[in-house]
Amino acid sequence: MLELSSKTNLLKEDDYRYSLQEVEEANLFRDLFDYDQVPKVSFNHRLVPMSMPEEIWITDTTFRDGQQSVNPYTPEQIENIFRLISKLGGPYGIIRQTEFFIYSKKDREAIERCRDLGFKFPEITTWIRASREDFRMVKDLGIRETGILVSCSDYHIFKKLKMTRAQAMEHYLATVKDAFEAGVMPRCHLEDITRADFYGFVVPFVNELMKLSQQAGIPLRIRACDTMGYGVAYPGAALPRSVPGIIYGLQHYSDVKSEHLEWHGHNDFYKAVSNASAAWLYGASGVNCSLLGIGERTGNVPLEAMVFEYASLRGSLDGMDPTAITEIAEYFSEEIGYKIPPMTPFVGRYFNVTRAGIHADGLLKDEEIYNIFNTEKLLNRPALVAVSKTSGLAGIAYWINQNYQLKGENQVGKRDALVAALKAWVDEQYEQGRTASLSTEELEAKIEELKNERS
Amino acid sequence: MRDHKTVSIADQIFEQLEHEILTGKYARGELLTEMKLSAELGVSRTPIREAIRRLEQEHIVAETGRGIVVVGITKEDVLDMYDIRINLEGLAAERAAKNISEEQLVEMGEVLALQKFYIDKPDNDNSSKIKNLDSQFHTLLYISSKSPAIGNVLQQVHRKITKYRRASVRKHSRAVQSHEEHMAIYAALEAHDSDRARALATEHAKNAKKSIMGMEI
Repeated sequence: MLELSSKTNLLKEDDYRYSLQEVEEANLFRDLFDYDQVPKVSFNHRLVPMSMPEEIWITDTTFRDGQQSVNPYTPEQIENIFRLISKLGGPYGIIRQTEFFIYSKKDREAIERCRDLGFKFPEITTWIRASREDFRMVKDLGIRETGILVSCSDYHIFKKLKMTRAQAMEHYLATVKDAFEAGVMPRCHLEDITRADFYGFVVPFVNELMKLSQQAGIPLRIRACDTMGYGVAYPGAALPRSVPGIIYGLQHYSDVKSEHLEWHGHNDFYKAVSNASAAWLYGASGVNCSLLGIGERTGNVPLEAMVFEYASLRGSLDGMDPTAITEIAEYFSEEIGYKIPPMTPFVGRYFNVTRAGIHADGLLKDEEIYNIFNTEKLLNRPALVAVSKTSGLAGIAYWINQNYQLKGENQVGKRDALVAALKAWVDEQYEQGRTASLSTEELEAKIEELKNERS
Repeated sequence: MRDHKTVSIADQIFEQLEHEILTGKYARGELLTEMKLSAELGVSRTPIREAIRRLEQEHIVAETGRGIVVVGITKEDVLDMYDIRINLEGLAAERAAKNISEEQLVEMGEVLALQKFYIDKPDNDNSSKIKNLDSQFHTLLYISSKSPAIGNVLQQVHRKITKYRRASVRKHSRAVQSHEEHMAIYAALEAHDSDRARALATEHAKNAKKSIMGMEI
């Protein structure tokens, strides 16, 4: 049967319905995932269309996946971070939701504190083990949506759960029914989807979920979880690793709407951000992230990265306040004691610090030459130069102007006598064997000394 | 059932602009441009365009030769809207008395208790909170009528006269009286007394209209 697609405004065939493929042995995709070799990417050159949804947004898992890999945050810390997430996400809720545990007294205290702030966004959701009692607890807390784990690869079904595919599906569907009975919207976390049999398990399973949702009259959300970071965004790459293939497939074969589809990735192969962007591009409205990418192993999709991806793709921050990213980084460094690697984009100490003398010269002439955008305006982080053995006169002059916030006529140039004297001293430090950059305190002390000598 | 609908940016911008126009931030006759609104609200022009289209449909703004101009609501519109309330609110209450659930009654009771709490603190200007709780009470009334047709009309009307409702409850005596009227309606709903609920709700709407008659519209 033909029907007109609301997405493309073209006629499309009513699609084939995949049914569950039961297997005797787990399909571990050994051709791709030989444990003794680097995982492989295969291509079948099936190109799926890009289909950016009308609305896209970010969801947060700082207090759940993020917290599973660090020391637990106190309720007060959670409240403070929640405030910053809300500030960053802006009034229109581009950071739409954040998920919490609910089991301990501290978890529930954290939820209460955040709820008492009365913010519209982010919405508080939960993540639970998924027993009937847990759903009731969620409902009693007045929470609308909760995540539940529905691992979908044979790695998990056979090796962890020790079930067959049919048993796993039955178990998951029963759990989802409990959610609907409690009046709670389930968010089904399809764990390890990039190693799952997409047409043999994932699609048939999601089809059953959609049927249950229709019967219950309550929507459900699908979170496609690239648990081990195997996803790739290459056009024409084959399933199960293809991010476009997964997103397109869930929409096309399981009728999951964009607004009910989100992506959750990890950075094991440095692909977390590009995969999340691909998920948006190919039809998922939500990408699930954590602040600073803190999470299991190599971490989650860094939320701050997706703020800038959003603005790049949509042409507007849509109310987001990226200066909150700097506040978040400072809070994690100073309050929580988390060491941010210095070269981390947007938040690292050196992310916009130029060291090479020739680059500093360019920066002095026009900041735009070697700074990615107006980092002072967007992140409250003016472009800086580090003074080191490769710094030339221009770099030192730039450092003085930035450090003392000298503007216009008050600025020093590279031919200034003070700059030359400071440069001579810097060179001497490195000739004597120094290797590290000079600190702000050292430079300020030397400048004071030189000024006194001159006066 | 809890609302699981996704909130779009365009919807939020529409609600914000509608509220700002109806509460007087943008004056009648003022020109609105997409670029100006985009800069003010910090969003791209796409949701602005969508919101303006909806505001045009609601006749709150109009396309003119000069561009999009704020129409707002006239004095006649305001009085007409109160007349709509007088005629429809009783019907909503009558249906609500038949259909209201225990859960909805509990929720309504909590709203009224909170409203009383703020009314009993006349030192602070809680008119905004009182007005919001008033909105919540009426929203619950409309939902429990189980008539989307009646509910949608009344919700729209309520939104459009929000400025006058707030001004009305700023007068402490009216806030107190309005709350007493709500409590009486609530008692009738609790007793599932349709006739009484209808009569009280109609009287409440008439008193609301009287309270704004002296105002500058």
